Amino acid sequence: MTGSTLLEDHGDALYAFARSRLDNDDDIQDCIQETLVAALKGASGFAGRSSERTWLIGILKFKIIDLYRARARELKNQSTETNADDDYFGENGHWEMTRAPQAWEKSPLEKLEDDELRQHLYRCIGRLPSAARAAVISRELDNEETPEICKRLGISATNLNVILYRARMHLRACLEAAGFRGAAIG
Amino acid sequence: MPCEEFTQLASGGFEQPISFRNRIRMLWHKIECVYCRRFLAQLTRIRRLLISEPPVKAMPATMRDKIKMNLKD
Repeated sequence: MTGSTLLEDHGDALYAFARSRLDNDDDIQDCIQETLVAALKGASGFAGRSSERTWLIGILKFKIIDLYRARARELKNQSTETNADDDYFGENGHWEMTRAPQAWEKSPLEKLEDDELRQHLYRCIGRLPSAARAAVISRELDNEETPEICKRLGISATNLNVILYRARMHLRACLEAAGFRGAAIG
Repeated sequence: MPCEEFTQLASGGFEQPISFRNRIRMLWHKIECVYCRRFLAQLTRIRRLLISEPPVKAMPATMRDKIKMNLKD
Protein backbone atom coordinates (compact mmCIF):
# COMPACT_ATOMS: atom_id res chain seq x y z
CA MET A 1 0.00 0.00 0.00
CA THR A 2 1.48 3.35 -1.08
CA GLY A 3 0.13 6.87 -1.05
CA SER A 4 0.19 6.97 -4.83
CA THR A 5 -1.85 3.81 -5.26
CA LEU A 6 -4.39 4.93 -2.66
CA LEU A 7 -4.64 8.25 -4.45
CA GLU A 8 -5.09 6.59 -7.83
CA ASP A 9 -7.66 4.09 -6.60
CA HIS A 10 -9.70 6.31 -4.28
CA GLY A 11 -8.75 9.93 -5.05
CA ASP A 12 -11.95 10.73 -6.92
CA ALA A 13 -14.20 9.23 -4.24
CA LEU A 14 -12.33 11.08 -1.48
CA TYR A 15 -12.53 14.28 -3.49
CA ALA A 16 -16.29 13.90 -4.06
CA PHE A 17 -16.88 13.28 -0.36
CA ALA A 18 -14.76 16.25 0.74
CA ARG A 19 -16.10 18.54 -1.95
CA SER A 20 -19.66 18.26 -0.68
CA ARG A 21 -18.52 19.14 2.83
CA LEU A 22 -15.83 21.76 2.42
CA ASP A 23 -16.00 24.98 0.52
CA ASN A 24 -12.48 25.47 -0.78
CA ASP A 25 -9.83 23.47 -2.56
CA ASP A 26 -7.11 24.18 0.02
CA ASP A 27 -9.12 22.56 2.80
CA ILE A 28 -10.12 19.68 0.54
CA GLN A 29 -6.52 19.03 -0.44
CA ASP A 30 -5.27 19.26 3.17
CA CYS A 31 -7.92 16.86 4.45
CA ILE A 32 -7.32 14.30 1.70
CA GLN A 33 -3.58 14.52 2.17
CA GLU A 34 -3.86 14.08 5.95
CA THR A 35 -6.20 11.16 5.36
CA LEU A 36 -3.70 9.39 3.15
CA VAL A 37 -0.85 10.05 5.60
CA ALA A 38 -2.97 8.70 8.47
CA ALA A 39 -3.95 5.68 6.38
CA LEU A 40 -0.33 4.86 5.56
CA LYS A 41 0.67 5.21 9.21
CA GLY A 42 -2.22 3.06 10.38
CA ALA A 43 -2.24 0.58 7.51
CA SER A 44 -1.48 -2.27 9.89
CA GLY A 45 -4.66 -1.40 11.79
CA PHE A 46 -6.81 -1.89 8.71
CA ALA A 47 -8.52 -5.14 9.55
CA GLY A 48 -10.24 -5.56 6.23
CA ARG A 49 -13.66 -5.64 7.87
CA SER A 50 -14.76 -2.90 5.48
CA SER A 51 -13.59 -2.01 2.01
CA GLU A 52 -10.45 0.08 1.67
CA ARG A 53 -12.55 2.97 0.36
CA THR A 54 -14.97 2.86 3.30
CA TRP A 55 -12.00 2.84 5.65
CA LEU A 56 -10.46 5.88 3.93
CA ILE A 57 -13.77 7.77 3.87
CA GLY A 58 -14.07 7.07 7.61
CA ILE A 59 -10.65 8.64 8.22
CA LEU A 60 -11.49 11.58 5.95
CA LYS A 61 -14.72 12.17 7.85
CA PHE A 62 -12.74 12.56 11.08
CA LYS A 63 -10.25 14.89 9.41
CA ILE A 64 -13.14 17.07 8.27
CA ILE A 65 -14.69 16.93 11.74
CA ASP A 66 -11.34 18.08 13.20
CA LEU A 67 -11.47 21.04 10.86
CA TYR A 68 -15.05 21.87 11.88
CA ARG A 69 -14.10 21.55 15.53
CA ALA A 70 -11.27 24.02 15.09
CA ARG A 71 -13.66 26.41 13.45
CA ALA A 72 -16.51 25.78 15.85
CA ARG A 73 -14.82 28.23 18.21
CA GLU A 74 -16.63 30.81 16.13
CA LEU A 75 -19.87 29.48 17.62
CA LYS A 76 -19.12 31.10 20.92
CA ASN A 77 -18.99 34.45 19.21
CA GLN A 78 -21.99 33.90 17.02
CA SER A 79 -25.24 35.33 18.25
CA THR A 80 -28.35 33.29 17.67
CA GLU A 81 -30.33 36.51 17.54
CA THR A 82 -31.80 37.43 14.21
CA ASN A 83 -29.94 40.24 12.55
CA ALA A 84 -31.21 42.77 10.04
CA ASP A 85 -30.23 40.57 7.12
CA ASP A 86 -32.57 37.85 8.37
CA ASP A 87 -35.72 39.94 8.46
CA TYR A 88 -37.88 37.54 6.54
CA PHE A 89 -40.94 38.42 8.62
CA GLY A 90 -42.83 41.58 9.48
CA GLU A 91 -43.85 42.68 12.95
CA ASN A 92 -47.01 40.55 12.70
CA GLY A 93 -44.88 37.43 12.18
CA HIS A 94 -45.97 36.92 8.58
CA TRP A 95 -43.70 36.91 5.53
CA GLU A 96 -42.39 40.22 4.26
CA MET A 97 -43.71 40.26 0.69
CA THR A 98 -40.26 40.98 -0.76
CA ARG A 99 -38.73 37.97 1.02
CA ALA A 100 -41.63 35.51 0.88
CA PRO A 101 -40.97 32.21 -0.94
CA GLN A 102 -41.56 32.52 -4.66
CA ALA A 103 -42.96 29.79 -6.87
CA TRP A 104 -39.91 27.91 -8.14
CA GLU A 105 -42.04 26.56 -10.98
CA LYS A 106 -41.80 29.99 -12.57
CA SER A 107 -38.04 30.23 -12.20
CA PRO A 108 -35.10 28.55 -13.93
CA LEU A 109 -34.70 26.52 -10.72
CA GLU A 110 -37.43 24.15 -11.83
CA LYS A 111 -35.60 23.40 -15.06
CA LEU A 112 -32.30 22.58 -13.38
CA GLU A 113 -31.28 18.97 -13.05
CA ASP A 114 -30.75 17.76 -9.50
CA ASP A 115 -26.98 17.70 -9.91
CA GLU A 116 -26.86 21.31 -11.08
CA LEU A 117 -29.16 22.41 -8.28
CA ARG A 118 -26.99 20.50 -5.83
CA GLN A 119 -23.93 22.43 -7.02
CA HIS A 120 -25.78 25.71 -6.35
CA LEU A 121 -26.72 24.38 -2.96
CA TYR A 122 -23.11 23.49 -2.09
CA ARG A 123 -22.09 27.01 -3.00
CA CYS A 124 -24.83 28.38 -0.76
CA ILE A 125 -23.65 26.11 2.05
CA GLY A 126 -20.16 27.46 1.49
CA ARG A 127 -21.48 30.93 2.21
CA LEU A 128 -22.82 29.98 5.63
CA PRO A 129 -20.77 30.85 8.73
CA SER A 130 -18.51 27.88 9.39
CA ALA A 131 -20.38 26.78 12.52
CA ALA A 132 -23.71 26.79 10.70
CA ARG A 133 -22.06 24.98 7.81
CA ALA A 134 -20.74 22.33 10.18
CA ALA A 135 -24.21 21.90 11.70
CA VAL A 136 -25.95 21.61 8.31
CA ILE A 137 -23.42 19.17 6.92
CA SER A 138 -23.46 16.98 10.02
CA ARG A 139 -27.25 16.95 10.12
CA GLU A 140 -28.23 16.86 6.47
CA LEU A 141 -25.34 15.23 4.63
CA ASP A 142 -24.03 12.90 7.31
CA ASN A 143 -27.44 12.34 8.91
CA GLU A 144 -26.00 12.59 12.42
CA GLU A 145 -28.27 12.78 15.45
CA THR A 146 -28.71 15.93 17.52
CA PRO A 147 -26.81 14.75 20.66
CA GLU A 148 -23.80 13.74 18.55
CA ILE A 149 -23.64 17.11 16.79
CA CYS A 150 -24.19 19.05 20.02
CA LYS A 151 -21.41 17.15 21.76
CA ARG A 152 -18.97 17.78 18.93
CA LEU A 153 -19.79 21.45 18.52
CA GLY A 154 -20.19 22.05 22.24
CA ILE A 155 -23.67 23.58 21.98
CA SER A 156 -27.11 22.86 23.40
CA ALA A 157 -29.89 21.21 21.40
CA THR A 158 -31.85 24.46 21.50
CA ASN A 159 -28.89 26.35 20.10
CA LEU A 160 -28.45 23.75 17.36
CA ASN A 161 -32.13 24.06 16.40
CA VAL A 162 -31.77 27.82 16.08
CA ILE A 163 -28.59 27.49 14.01
CA LEU A 164 -30.20 24.90 11.71
CA TYR A 165 -33.34 27.01 11.36
CA ARG A 166 -31.39 30.11 10.36
CA ALA A 167 -29.16 28.08 8.03
CA ARG A 168 -32.20 26.55 6.28
CA MET A 169 -33.77 29.98 5.86
CA HIS A 170 -30.52 31.22 4.32
CA LEU A 171 -30.12 28.20 2.05
CA ARG A 172 -33.65 28.47 0.68
CA ALA A 173 -33.29 32.20 0.06
CA CYS A 174 -29.79 31.79 -1.43
CA LEU A 175 -30.98 29.09 -3.83
CA GLU A 176 -34.02 31.12 -4.80
CA ALA A 177 -31.91 34.22 -5.45
CA ALA A 178 -29.57 32.18 -7.64
CA GLY A 179 -32.49 30.64 -9.50
CA PHE A 180 -34.20 33.90 -10.23
CA ARG A 181 -31.00 35.45 -11.49
CA GLY A 182 -30.90 32.47 -13.81
CA ALA A 183 -27.14 32.33 -13.61
CA ALA A 184 -24.52 30.51 -11.64
CA ILE A 185 -23.73 31.98 -8.29
CA GLY A 186 -20.12 32.39 -7.50
CA MET B 1 -50.49 31.05 13.42
CA PRO B 2 -47.82 33.51 12.26
CA CYS B 3 -45.65 32.37 9.33
CA GLU B 4 -42.51 32.77 11.44
CA GLU B 5 -43.79 30.25 13.96
CA PHE B 6 -44.78 27.89 11.14
CA THR B 7 -41.28 27.99 9.65
CA GLN B 8 -39.67 27.43 13.07
CA LEU B 9 -41.92 24.46 13.80
CA ALA B 10 -41.36 23.05 10.31
CA SER B 11 -37.58 23.26 10.67
CA GLY B 12 -37.70 21.88 14.21
CA GLY B 13 -39.86 19.04 12.94
CA PHE B 14 -36.83 17.66 11.14
CA GLU B 15 -35.08 17.27 14.51
CA GLN B 16 -37.90 16.14 16.79
CA PRO B 17 -41.58 15.20 16.53
CA ILE B 18 -44.10 18.02 16.42
CA SER B 19 -46.88 17.87 18.99
CA PHE B 20 -50.35 16.87 17.80
CA ARG B 21 -51.70 20.32 18.64
CA ASN B 22 -49.02 22.05 16.59
CA ARG B 23 -49.45 19.64 13.69
CA ILE B 24 -53.13 20.62 13.52
CA ARG B 25 -52.28 24.32 13.78
CA MET B 26 -49.72 23.93 11.01
CA LEU B 27 -52.20 22.09 8.83
CA TRP B 28 -54.71 24.93 9.13
CA HIS B 29 -52.02 27.50 8.45
CA LYS B 30 -50.78 25.58 5.41
CA ILE B 31 -54.26 25.61 3.92
CA GLU B 32 -54.47 29.37 4.06
CA CYS B 33 -50.84 30.39 3.37
CA VAL B 34 -49.33 29.77 -0.05
CA TYR B 35 -45.93 31.09 1.06
CA CYS B 36 -45.61 28.59 3.89
CA ARG B 37 -46.73 25.79 1.57
CA ARG B 38 -43.94 26.80 -0.80
CA PHE B 39 -41.49 27.11 2.09
CA LEU B 40 -42.17 23.57 3.26
CA ALA B 41 -42.02 22.11 -0.26
CA GLN B 42 -38.76 23.91 -1.02
CA LEU B 43 -37.16 22.94 2.28
CA THR B 44 -38.12 19.33 1.65
CA ARG B 45 -36.58 19.46 -1.83
CA ILE B 46 -33.37 20.96 -0.44
CA ARG B 47 -33.11 18.21 2.18
CA ARG B 48 -33.79 15.51 -0.40
CA LEU B 49 -31.02 16.90 -2.60
CA LEU B 50 -28.55 16.97 0.27
CA ILE B 51 -29.35 13.44 1.35
CA SER B 52 -29.02 11.98 -2.15
CA GLU B 53 -25.54 10.94 -3.20
CA PRO B 54 -23.86 13.31 -5.65
CA PRO B 55 -22.21 11.75 -8.69
CA VAL B 56 -18.49 11.20 -8.24
CA LYS B 57 -16.49 13.98 -9.86
CA ALA B 58 -12.85 13.55 -10.77
CA MET B 59 -10.25 15.17 -8.58
CA PRO B 60 -8.59 18.05 -10.44
CA ALA B 61 -5.26 16.95 -11.91
CA THR B 62 -3.39 19.81 -10.23
CA MET B 63 -4.66 18.77 -6.81
CA ARG B 64 -3.76 15.15 -7.47
CA ASP B 65 -0.24 16.15 -8.51
CA LYS B 66 0.22 18.37 -5.45
CA ILE B 67 -0.91 15.64 -3.06
CA LYS B 68 1.30 13.10 -4.81
CA MET B 69 4.28 15.42 -4.54
CA ASN B 70 3.61 16.20 -0.86
CA LEU B 71 3.25 12.52 -0.02
CA LYS B 72 6.72 11.89 -1.40
CA ASP B 73 8.23 14.55 0.91
